[in-house]
Amino acid sequence: MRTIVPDKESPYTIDECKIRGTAELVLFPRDADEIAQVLRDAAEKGVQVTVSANRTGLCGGGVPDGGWVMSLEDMPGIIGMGYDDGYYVRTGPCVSVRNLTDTMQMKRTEGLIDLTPEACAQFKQDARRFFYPVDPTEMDGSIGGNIAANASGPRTFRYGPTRDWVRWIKVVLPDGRIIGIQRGEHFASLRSFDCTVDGVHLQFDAPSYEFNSDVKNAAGLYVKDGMDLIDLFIGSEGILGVIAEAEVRLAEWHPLLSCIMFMPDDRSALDLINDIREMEDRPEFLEYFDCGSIDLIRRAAAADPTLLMPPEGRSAAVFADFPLDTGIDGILSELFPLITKNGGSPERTWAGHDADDRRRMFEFRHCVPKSIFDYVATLKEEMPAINKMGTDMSVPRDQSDGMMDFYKEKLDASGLEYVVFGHMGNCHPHVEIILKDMADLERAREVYDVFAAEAVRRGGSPSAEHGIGKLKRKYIRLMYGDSGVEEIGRVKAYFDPQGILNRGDMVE
Amino acid sequence: MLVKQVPDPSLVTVSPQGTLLREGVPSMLDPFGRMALMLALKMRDEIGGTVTAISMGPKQAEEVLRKCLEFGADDAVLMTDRRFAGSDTMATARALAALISNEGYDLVLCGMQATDGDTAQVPPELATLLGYRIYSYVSEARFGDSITLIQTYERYEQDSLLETPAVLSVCRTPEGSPQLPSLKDFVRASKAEIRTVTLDDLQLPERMTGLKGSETKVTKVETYVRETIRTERIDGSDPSQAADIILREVKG
Repeated sequence: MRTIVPDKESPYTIDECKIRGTAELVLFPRDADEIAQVLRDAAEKGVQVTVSANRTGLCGGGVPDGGWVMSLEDMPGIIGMGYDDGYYVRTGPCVSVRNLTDTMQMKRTEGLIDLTPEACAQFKQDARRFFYPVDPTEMDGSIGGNIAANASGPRTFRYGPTRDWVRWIKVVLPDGRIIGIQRGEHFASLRSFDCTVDGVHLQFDAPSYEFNSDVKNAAGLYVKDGMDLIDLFIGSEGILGVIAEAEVRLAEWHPLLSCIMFMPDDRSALDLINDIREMEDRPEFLEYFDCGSIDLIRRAAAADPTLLMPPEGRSAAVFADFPLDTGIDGILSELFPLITKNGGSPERTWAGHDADDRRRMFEFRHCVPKSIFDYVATLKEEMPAINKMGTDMSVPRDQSDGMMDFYKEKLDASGLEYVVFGHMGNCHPHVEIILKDMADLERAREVYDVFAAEAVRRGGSPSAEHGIGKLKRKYIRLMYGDSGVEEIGRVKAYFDPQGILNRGDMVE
Repeated sequence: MLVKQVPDPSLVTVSPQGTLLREGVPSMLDPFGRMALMLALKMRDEIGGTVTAISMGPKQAEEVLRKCLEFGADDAVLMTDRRFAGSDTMATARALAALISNEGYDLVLCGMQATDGDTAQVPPELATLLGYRIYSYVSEARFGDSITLIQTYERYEQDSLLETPAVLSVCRTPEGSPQLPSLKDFVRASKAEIRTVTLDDLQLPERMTGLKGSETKVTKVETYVRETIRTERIDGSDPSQAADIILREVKG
């Protein structure tokens, strides 16, 4: 097993939240047994272990606070394919979503093993195309990280979050025992688990709080009466065990027409989104960009000619994907009047459907968070303590307009500069505060807490998809109270009595 | 204007034998062909006329023609026939030339090369067969009383007055070109008809095109690594000193 001693600039002590941690050693296990070995050694020495994959997390989950970093990058890549009521893929934890998607789209099955007889050959010969439908926007994120975070993204609007696509995981428990959890095999009785998995007897109570599944929600352990054991681990942010392998299902691919509709102002774009939500055939993807976001893209495109440049004139935009099949004529005849009614036009709407155009449209979309990351990274040079302040809060559908007004009112009153973009299909926009100095950061933290409380008050989640990590622990208390935090801590202690694994993530 | 359907160059990989692994890779409008389309549309908007997109290939090449229509081409012709299959550059040029002369197009724009074969041979071959002028590597067109073409050869540029009939091979996207089709154009293109042409329509003998009409054959693909040659400019203001430097270099 490789090991390295990280230096001050080491990539292993930082993630995309740009907070720098410290670690004594980085270890690179190559299989589940070596992961178990690392955990046993750590337990013996009383050292904490932070699990690290592609370090694209936004809440500091992979940032170590001393101890060891266990990087999973030497673990196997895509392992094999199987077929039951659909195709599924077994993969190592560090494979990026991009790699998984490209490999499956191009049917590159060479070197993969058959998990069911002839699965690879059958997949290759199948005239249909398939893909892994969870698009977490950050395509470089690892599949293990995606499962640990129950990642979601714009396509959750149609396909649901990661949870819905995971059929099996191999987990290394903090004491080094290895279990394979198959969906549909181990259920709780109400909230109590009492089951034997691969010879490991598990008996514990899941937390008793209500986990809000009516909105996109990535705050705290997922719980539900009679839940499947696998669902406790999915979205558990790695505090209960290390995901060493996983099987994810694939969805049948179909062509899509991507439309970016440029609208005269923020209000008209939001109104168009409300109208599109009511369409007979809903789009698969429905995203919002306010005028400020489009300005950010404009600046980025001026510096990088490979990026799409927004049309001239100030505008907001709505991005939607529609299935491109025989029904498209009907969809467009419903869509056209909605666009014009709200002040847009089919001439000021981009339409792309081939792989190249759609890739460029998605780069256009990704440009907003990326510009903000890059901007914050430049601020860090002068102000090391500064960090990105973007909201990740969802609310129920009937609270969406009210929450948007609330954001605007509070931010305008605070004098902070901000942009709003994201998953309006799921009533889950990202409000990114553009910080200029440390005083802005202080004010931003204040309004952020007000937003979180308001989202919870309206029946939403303060962390819809980024998770809790080390940065958002206080929102767990906001949602579930002291007793909820205690209950999560109790489950954590059941699996990890010494508290060596991913210490400080989700709960203290 | 001529376009080709190619595998997406950002996704295609090369086998150890040097052939392209196209399987499962999505196809797209050849990037240089797209530049030619943009220049053709700009010329039409400046001087009038119509833009016809032409592609020779299998039935699915219709997709790239549809794309040209989405960007604003007036009509599209697909040359498709099993007997065209296996054409080398000359056999391709013969078939294209037959169509172009039959239909009487006087200005032919194409990409400087396609990203799959990368030969850049079709445009000059086509011009020769048609007896048209060739303007290679056109990077820009300026419009006034006449049309001035800027041709870019690595570090050098050349201005030429466009005289038709002509074939232009294009190597840059004109400024201000549409980046994506509009939804309005998408709808128009989706309803447009694409004309199909077979070998029989061309009045071209079968032995002139396809595998039968191809004199070249790819036997092996090798990666050629060019040796880096060190160059140094010697100050010649003092000839004897310069001679000394050269002498030292030569003697090693």
